[in-house]
Amino acid sequence: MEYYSPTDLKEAYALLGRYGASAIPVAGSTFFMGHREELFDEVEAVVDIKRLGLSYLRLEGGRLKIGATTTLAGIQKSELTARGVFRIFADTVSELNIKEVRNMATIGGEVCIAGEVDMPTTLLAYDADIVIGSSKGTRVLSMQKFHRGYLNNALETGEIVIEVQVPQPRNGTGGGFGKFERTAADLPIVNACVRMALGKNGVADEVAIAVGAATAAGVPVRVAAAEKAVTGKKVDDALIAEAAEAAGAIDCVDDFRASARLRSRWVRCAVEDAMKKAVAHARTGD
Amino acid sequence: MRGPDPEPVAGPAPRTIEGASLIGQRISKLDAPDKASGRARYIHDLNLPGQLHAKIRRSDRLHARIVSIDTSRAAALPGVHVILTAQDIPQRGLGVNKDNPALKGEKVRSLRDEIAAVAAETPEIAAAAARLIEVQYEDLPAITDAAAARAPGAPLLHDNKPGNLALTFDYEHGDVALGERESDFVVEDTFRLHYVTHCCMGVSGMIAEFQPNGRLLLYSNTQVPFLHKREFAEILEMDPGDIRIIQPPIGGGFGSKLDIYPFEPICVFLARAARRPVKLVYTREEEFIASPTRQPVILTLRSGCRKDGTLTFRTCTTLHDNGAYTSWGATTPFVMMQTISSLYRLPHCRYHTDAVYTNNPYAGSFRGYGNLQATFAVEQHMDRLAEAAGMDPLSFRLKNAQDPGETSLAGLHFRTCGLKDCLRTAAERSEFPVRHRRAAAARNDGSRVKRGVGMASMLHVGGGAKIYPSDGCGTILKLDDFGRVTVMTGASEIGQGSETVIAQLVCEELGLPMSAVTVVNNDTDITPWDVGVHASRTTFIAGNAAIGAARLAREKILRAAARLAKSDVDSLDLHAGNIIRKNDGEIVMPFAKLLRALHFSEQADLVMTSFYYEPPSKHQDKTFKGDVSAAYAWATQVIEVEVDTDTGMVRLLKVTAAHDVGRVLNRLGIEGQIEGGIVMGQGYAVTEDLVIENGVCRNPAFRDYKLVTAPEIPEMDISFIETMDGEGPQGAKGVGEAPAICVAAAVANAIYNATGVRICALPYTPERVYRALHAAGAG
Repeated sequence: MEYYSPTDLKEAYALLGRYGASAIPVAGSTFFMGHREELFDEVEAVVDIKRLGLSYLRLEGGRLKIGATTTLAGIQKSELTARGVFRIFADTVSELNIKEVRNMATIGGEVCIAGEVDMPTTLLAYDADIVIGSSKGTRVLSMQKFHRGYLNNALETGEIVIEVQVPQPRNGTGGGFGKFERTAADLPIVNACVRMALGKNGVADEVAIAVGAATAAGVPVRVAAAEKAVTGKKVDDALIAEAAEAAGAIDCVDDFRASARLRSRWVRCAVEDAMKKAVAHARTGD
Repeated sequence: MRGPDPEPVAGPAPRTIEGASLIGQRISKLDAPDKASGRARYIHDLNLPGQLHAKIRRSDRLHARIVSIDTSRAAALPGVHVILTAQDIPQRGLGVNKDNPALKGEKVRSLRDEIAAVAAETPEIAAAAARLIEVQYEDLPAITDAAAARAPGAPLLHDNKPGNLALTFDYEHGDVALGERESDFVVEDTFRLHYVTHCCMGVSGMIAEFQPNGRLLLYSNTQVPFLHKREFAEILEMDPGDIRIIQPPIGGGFGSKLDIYPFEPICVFLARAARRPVKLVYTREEEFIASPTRQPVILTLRSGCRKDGTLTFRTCTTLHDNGAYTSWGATTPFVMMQTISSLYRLPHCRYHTDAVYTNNPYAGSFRGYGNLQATFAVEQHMDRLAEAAGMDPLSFRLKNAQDPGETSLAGLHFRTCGLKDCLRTAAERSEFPVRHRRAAAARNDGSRVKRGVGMASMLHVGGGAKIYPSDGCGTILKLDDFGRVTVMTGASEIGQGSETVIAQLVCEELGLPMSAVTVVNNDTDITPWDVGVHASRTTFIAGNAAIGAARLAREKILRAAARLAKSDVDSLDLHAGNIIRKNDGEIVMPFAKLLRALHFSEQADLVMTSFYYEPPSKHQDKTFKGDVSAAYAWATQVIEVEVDTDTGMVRLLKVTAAHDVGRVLNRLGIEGQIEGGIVMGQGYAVTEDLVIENGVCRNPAFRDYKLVTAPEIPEMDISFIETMDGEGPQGAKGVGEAPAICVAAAVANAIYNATGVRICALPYTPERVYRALHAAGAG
């Protein structure tokens, strides 16, 4: 197995092109390193994309652009996520308790894994786009379309994720993130993100509710029934409970980490928690 | 046993100088600087010139006849030196039942079974070669359920073990039928205890090297080097005198390194065949799959009491899933039956264990040695009987707790016994009675998050355990002409802090600072014999041996000093590196000067002493009765929990622990032992679960085997009950295993106190708790 650390995109694309399906691009490597070595028998080249200059956050043309190799800690510490409508991205990272992983894992990696991670749930709730690059140019897919299923994404051989873009939410938008895990150092068993814009008299004008880690689909999903239950209504505890109940009805995965029955209960609790945080955030805007 | 003591009173020598004693002080571990700075060289860091790396090829099947093994593709891989299969080595079984050959030739019985082994230039080549070995199997019906293994007509794992019975144990005192007739209340439950594993940060490993003179040098993580010499010699058909074991710093044992396992002789056979040193170190995944587990148990307990709360009887039947081979796990009844028979005063008792073969992983010894399992059951029944009798849990326990001087009907003689003090202290410091009443009253108040407190006590050996022909330990003390002391002890340091305590006890006797002592404890060619690290025995046994050697040295030094100073031996003492006059503390001469005067004179003498301490305990008789330990440790823990009835989450808020430790020697060390033990007990109770489904381990990685992490660790309030054991070193008892033992039981009782639901199976994961609460309609 060869290790490459290219310093510009062209060089990276050339390497990925040369090795084809037997190349694996890595950045933080937190997911890669956690696997059994036998799984990598087929891997001939590891292409480290950390030195391509893809670590940044900037606000440009009404979109928050986050470079693919920006670490979770980098997102957490950015001024752009310290307060206001993008604070949810720092809040999402704060829910991951393992500092070593926050320092190494990158947003591009979280997006590509399509497994038990937090950030894609938030990206789904915030209608993010994924920018994909290859020697042939770039293309853009929505977060929703980028995931094909558990541990399965839309990247073709030779492609890598280079950037994540989040449209700026309207003023007055609050975000909240809820999560369940077995211990503080764990994969998420259930996570949920709520984006909510509150209008006059506390009416929810716009609501997005995404649930991840627990779903039978294996990737985060938007819960239309829960969104519908809240949109256009004055938000109070009873309404939040109703929406959470609706979210709990989604199909959940059943495995040795947690049963579908428990996960469904936790989805309800996580959505309730996330929604309360979103409402509080929307009210203060801080 | 007590060495010559010049002082007129018994107990530790009184000091003329105020505050001079090291006993009870907070002393940093001697190995801490090396470990904290990353300089400790564990077995992973050791590499010998010319060394090869080994990898074991394990079974792909649960239960199968091996039809053929083809090693030709593996052997063709460049860099491969040796490949061994069963036909290349003697077929001699390892373990308690000698049923576990190092390499399996005829059939495999579990997924950890060793079929072949490779020695190659690099670990990667060895691993690749092991995967290239082709094995043809003929599947046999597998048994992964202990009850099914006992069913008539069940397939046999070992032809010479009818009924798949590996071991049985029976114990009885009194007449349980009479006890039951005398009972006003009787309760019965079946408890299910799961698989967990030690998770030592230092995984299993060994380096084997045959020296030109034919001797075998082993670098090993074993906890029992002297017993291992004999066992290796049998397997290797060598003279035990030709085997030398050196232990690099060991990254945790907790019982996992107490037996000899197939990987160890495999490593030696590879070294012999390759004529090169061979290193075999497990990956973390292998450590989960192929190192031992705690013994899983299905335990049915029936207990009774009278209206006034007096215990009447216990009947206990356990089914031990022995796995495919027999290691120490199957012998945990030795300890379990002590708790069943002797934790609280009990007139009638019967105990029975069947350990049965299955195609599951096999269990070894693990901190507590069956006592966590037994205490989990007994202490829940104490709460159930208390409730039945209308008593609070504290009063019920106090009514049945033993007093110092009592001998249990199993023959355990409690010369000191702090159980009542432990109960009262833990209850008072945790405000147990009022919190317990308040939580029970608030159970049905409609709130989502409930709080509760639970209490549990434990009894464990604290003065060694006479299992082997000797339970002793030797110490050699060498004093040099600069006043420095080298302590050579048989006792192994596995992270528990034994070398620090041993150094401290020697310094206390010789009036020296800790900086004057070096401890040598890791080389069987140098150190005197010791049974090994088990049964919470090291501080007690090795400590007494160290004191014995130090007192001989002290006596010799003071006699020589008296001669030189022309004064009476009884008027002199040792303090702060000097010989002093006892009455006024005046320095007579520096310690080092006296040693030189002894050495470089006509006497030409050295101070070098040795002492072998054998505790005054007894072997059990054939009915498992007898005073097997020289002292017994007691503890009570009160644990407060929060139960989220909506999510099933159980959070430990506070542990109030009171431990009868005899006497605190190193306060820093004992706090660490107890805090660490509580956390290990918490993992057993709440988060840790080695998931074995149909013989397959589903979570062989920390990603899914959940150890407790810092945010989950509760507040701890630890009290030491100092009963000053007459036999213990400076009054101390062993405490290594004690703190882990009653955590799960106390958590069980706390969950019941909070919710009114009693859950008889571990661990208390959200899954289990949620199901139990919602099946019962609570929350």
